[in-house]
Amino acid sequence: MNNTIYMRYFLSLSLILSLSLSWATGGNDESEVTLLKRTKFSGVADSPVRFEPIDTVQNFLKKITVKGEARMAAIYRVMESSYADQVTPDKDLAFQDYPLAGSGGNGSAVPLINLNIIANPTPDFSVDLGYALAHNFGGTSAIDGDTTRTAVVRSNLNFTGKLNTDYGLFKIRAGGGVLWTSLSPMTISQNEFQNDGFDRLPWDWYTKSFERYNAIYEGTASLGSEVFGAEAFQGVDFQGSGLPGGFGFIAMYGRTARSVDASKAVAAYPSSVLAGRLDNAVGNAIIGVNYYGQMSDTTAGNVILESEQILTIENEGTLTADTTISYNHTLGSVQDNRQIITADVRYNINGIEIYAELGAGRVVNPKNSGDWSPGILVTTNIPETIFGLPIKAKLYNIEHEFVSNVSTVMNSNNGAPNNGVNQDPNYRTTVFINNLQEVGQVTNNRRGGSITTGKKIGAFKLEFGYGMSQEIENLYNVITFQHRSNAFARSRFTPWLQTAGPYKRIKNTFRRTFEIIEITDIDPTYLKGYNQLDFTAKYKMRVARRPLIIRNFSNYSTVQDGISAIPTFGDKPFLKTFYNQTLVFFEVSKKVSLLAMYEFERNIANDRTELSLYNRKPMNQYSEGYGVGLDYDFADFAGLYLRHRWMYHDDINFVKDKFQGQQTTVELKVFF
Amino acid sequence: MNKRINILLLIGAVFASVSLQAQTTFYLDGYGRALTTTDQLKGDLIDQDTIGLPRKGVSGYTLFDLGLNLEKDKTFKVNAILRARNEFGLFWGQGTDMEFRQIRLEGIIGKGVKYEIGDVYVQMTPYTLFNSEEMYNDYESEIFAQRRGILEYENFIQGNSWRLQGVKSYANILFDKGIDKLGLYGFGVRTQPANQIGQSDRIMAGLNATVTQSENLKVGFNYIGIQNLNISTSLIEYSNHVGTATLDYNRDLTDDFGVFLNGEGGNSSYSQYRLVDDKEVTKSDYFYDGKIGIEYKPLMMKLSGGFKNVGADFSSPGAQTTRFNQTSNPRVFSQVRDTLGSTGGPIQRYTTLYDRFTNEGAYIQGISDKLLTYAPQYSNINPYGKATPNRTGLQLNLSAGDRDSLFQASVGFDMMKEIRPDNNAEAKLREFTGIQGGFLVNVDKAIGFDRDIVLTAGYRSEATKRDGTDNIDLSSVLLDFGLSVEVLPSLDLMVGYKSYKAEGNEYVAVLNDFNQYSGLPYELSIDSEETMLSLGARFNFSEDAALTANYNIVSYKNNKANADLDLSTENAGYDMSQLFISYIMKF
Repeated sequence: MNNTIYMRYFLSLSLILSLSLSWATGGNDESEVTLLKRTKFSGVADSPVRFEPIDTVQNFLKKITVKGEARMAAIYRVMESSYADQVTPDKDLAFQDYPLAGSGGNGSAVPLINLNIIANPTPDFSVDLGYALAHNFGGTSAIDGDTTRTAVVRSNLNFTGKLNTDYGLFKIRAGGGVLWTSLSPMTISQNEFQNDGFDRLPWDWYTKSFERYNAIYEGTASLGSEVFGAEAFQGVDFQGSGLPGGFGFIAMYGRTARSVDASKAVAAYPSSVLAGRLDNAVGNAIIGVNYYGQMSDTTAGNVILESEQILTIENEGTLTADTTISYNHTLGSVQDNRQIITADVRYNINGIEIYAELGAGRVVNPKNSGDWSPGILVTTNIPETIFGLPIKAKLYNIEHEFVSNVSTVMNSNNGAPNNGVNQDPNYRTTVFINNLQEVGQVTNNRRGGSITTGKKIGAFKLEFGYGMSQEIENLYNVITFQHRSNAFARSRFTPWLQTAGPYKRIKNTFRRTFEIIEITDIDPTYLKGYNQLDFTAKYKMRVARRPLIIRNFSNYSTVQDGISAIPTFGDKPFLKTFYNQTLVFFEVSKKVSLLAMYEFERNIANDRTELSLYNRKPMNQYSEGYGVGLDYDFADFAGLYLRHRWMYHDDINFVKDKFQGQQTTVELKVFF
Repeated sequence: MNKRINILLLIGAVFASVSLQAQTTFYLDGYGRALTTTDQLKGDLIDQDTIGLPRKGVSGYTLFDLGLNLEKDKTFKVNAILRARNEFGLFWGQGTDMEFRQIRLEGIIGKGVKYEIGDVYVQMTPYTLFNSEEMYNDYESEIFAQRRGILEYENFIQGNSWRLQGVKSYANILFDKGIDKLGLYGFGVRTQPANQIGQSDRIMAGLNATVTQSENLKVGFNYIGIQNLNISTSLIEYSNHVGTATLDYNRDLTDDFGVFLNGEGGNSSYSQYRLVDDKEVTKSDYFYDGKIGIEYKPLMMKLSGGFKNVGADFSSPGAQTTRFNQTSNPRVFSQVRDTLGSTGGPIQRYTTLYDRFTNEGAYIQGISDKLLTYAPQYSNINPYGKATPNRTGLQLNLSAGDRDSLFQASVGFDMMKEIRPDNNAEAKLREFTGIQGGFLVNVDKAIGFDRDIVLTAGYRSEATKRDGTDNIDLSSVLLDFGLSVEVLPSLDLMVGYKSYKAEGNEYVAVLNDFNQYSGLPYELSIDSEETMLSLGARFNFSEDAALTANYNIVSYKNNKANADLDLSTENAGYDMSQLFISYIMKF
């Protein structure tokens, strides 16, 4: 009790003293006290001590840029019939692109506000800090435990520094969020798909809608992944240019968005990426050497592997099989290392651009041989002035164990999924086994080529695409193909699941849906051939003195036993797919555009594929979608976008494969 | 978390709006760090594991502390720090955390009284309020110092101050006659909140008044008290008060020679009552610490000798709380074997010297009323800093030069003994002998090179002995070596080496909540060797931004079975390697 009194006395004394000091120093112009200045205070037994902390952050006025975007997307979907495993009710209102997406987090959940603060303390140094603020409109109150609003770092939390020296210009980027990066097409880059002209991408950057449609007409629209051609990366990359001898380099160490899944990342799972490039200009050519290495060594049971029941497939070809086995690693080392070494050259002669990349890759894990597998990719762009037609051509020959899940080479190797050899097959989002790819896309275990060209005739623009390829080894008795109609809507049924749908054949990825069918041939010795034909007709006209654009796109693709110069017909192909989409864009005024869309898709398999238990007949699907849209650019930096689509899909033989519904999207987008 | 975020946004909005007003300045500053480590563990100890605990790992994070600063009329300032943190390898918003790291108001009352409110850094004397270094590291390599710097930033270590929550104020009053200056410093912080179910608020307050008579003489008076604000349901009633006086005197004998005398002495009073068993303990004790020395100015050389006596019951939590939490688990490879350890679970990897400056979670950020556990093999003479109780003896120090001159060197010698034996009634007093010192040479200045070359070497040895019953013979030796060479403009190559050897035995006291001996001490027998070799390069993009890559090789060898350290197998050890890459910037 005495001590309590002592303490009160002391506190009172302190207060009185402080007030007295205030008075005492009020008229003292020689006061040594200066705000915000380091002071030293002596008066203790030892050497002078510093009472005032030295801030690790120095206080100087900085150049700050704040920019970003606000995006409010409300999606209302009503399904008259749906897949049994659809994760949301048949009537569903969502405020994220994907239902159940972690607010502000999880992949697709582009936030309500994406706020970027960029500081440039010096011209050579910048900090990029991105706050992603999301709202789920969850309807909960703070009393209930309000989790409806979240703030995370989604896109930027990184630092950039430059140094100009006598030895060259050096640049470093380090950090998290996302460092968008690319090395070469076969090592680190991004595989791009043809884009739907109807549904809007979350990062659509057009502020004047009809410019977007004009770009589609002109063929210059580059709507694709978030940063076209680049892969998401975290860690450190170090770049040098103008080095002695004219060399330049990139060295990077870290993780890509596909290196390891979330649970393993926080458990310090030993997975990382080391990559680099060294290049130099020789005459008109730029010659480079690229290295990509993804290291993962599950030495002696890093906890995740120990505690996880690993699902795998008895016969890797039969992904539709319900039977799985599980196993645990208890001791020993399970390595999963991938390496790719390539050399590339980019050469420009008389306007003809040639790019060639040649190298080898290997996968060292229990499901692969570890042998080096060669790969080559050659592309050329020939301007219209040479042959009267612009030509883009591509040739490639890439073997099975040439794997980078973060490159333009789609991965067909089920023994090398992105998150490691033991990744849950339900979420192997980067594995496309025997993919019937789009024209221009490249995949491993395949040799082939593609060519695209086009011609403008008056207001008509015609484009033609052709692809032909053949697998190098027949390793899997399955085919993967893409559902192009209602792609975005379909991908929302069971997001990210790779064994979705009534027959567990559906692969859902970001805004796309694929399906896998099984070939029932026993011990096949043939090599499957893949063919694609694209034809696009575009026409631009004026109606009531306002521009109107019509675009029709058709694709016919087949997979058959053996190579074929052109897509096959009849019962020969294991699978034949036909897709047709018609889009109409009309600029009502400078601020208002209308659009309409109709698309349908036919996917027909032959009787050498999996047969329905219902009638012993193969897959025979019909899908269609049609919709209308309105774009209202109410400001130079903002717009309101409405889309409504009707969708339908059924298979007359696999009768559970059926859905029908409607989806409405209202999107407000503001750039600042 | 959402509430926190809302608060952050509100603060940001308030700052932004206020900044629009006249005479108000709003600005941002920041500190960022991107860090990855790639770790591997192997060795005899690990090989005995049969369940396959992790042996390799990759981890890291990126963080940015955004400082919001507002100044008004040069008399008021607000500082808030918002942290965004992203775990390495988690994308699209997963694994990110938003944290409100600091808020502080500061300003001037009148023309001379400075005040700070919120998260404040406070410090007084080594016997009243002082955040002592966790271990001797005066001459450690720059490559290790960098790692230690990360821990210090993360744990709000600035010099020897504690960052606590409350208010502080200080001022200097100048005089024309008699004395030059009166310095006053006071603070009040809360170190424990009430929880309405038996825990009361705990307040710590301190006051220092220093009279500077002239450049030659300073006299100071210090008080620090910790007090529970007892409530009717209090389970614990606690108070601790310390009062001290300091003297600092120096005088020049000639232009080159001078003498100095300084010291501190005081008394503590401790009281704690525990309701659950109606136990009350009160104790008080005193201390004094003084030294006298001579100075030779041309060489910045000082030679001093002193004597100290810190009573066995001297209690000063503000000065005796250890910086390092010896009971913390290592962040990297925390478990080494499946065989059950003393805690009944898989064996934890014992915290070693390497963990002591690399484990970000191992530092203590608050004041503890209880003397915390320490590891005698790492520090046994002054485990609680200068204010370590139950020590008396001689101190000799010799130092020369400073870090900016051609060289800096120092050597210190401690010859201490206990004042009171531990609770083994038959035991004699422990005797301690310690030598510590080292040197730093700016080689570039010696050879006239225009780029920095810095060589450092440090040494510390401790010996503890007790004869008779429960005899003790414990010795430890720390060696530090470092070299930093600026090989190219902006590019430094660095190497650091540490070795640590501890051998012998000690009886470790077990203390109860009243800092009293509880049962007999247990014997710790140890014969261990640790080495750390670190090689690295640092690329300085500017004074405030650098990329560092280090490769660290750590070896731990235990030559004696010791169940208390969960080292039940003789001759078991491990080797750990770590590739450490960091990019640190501030602006």
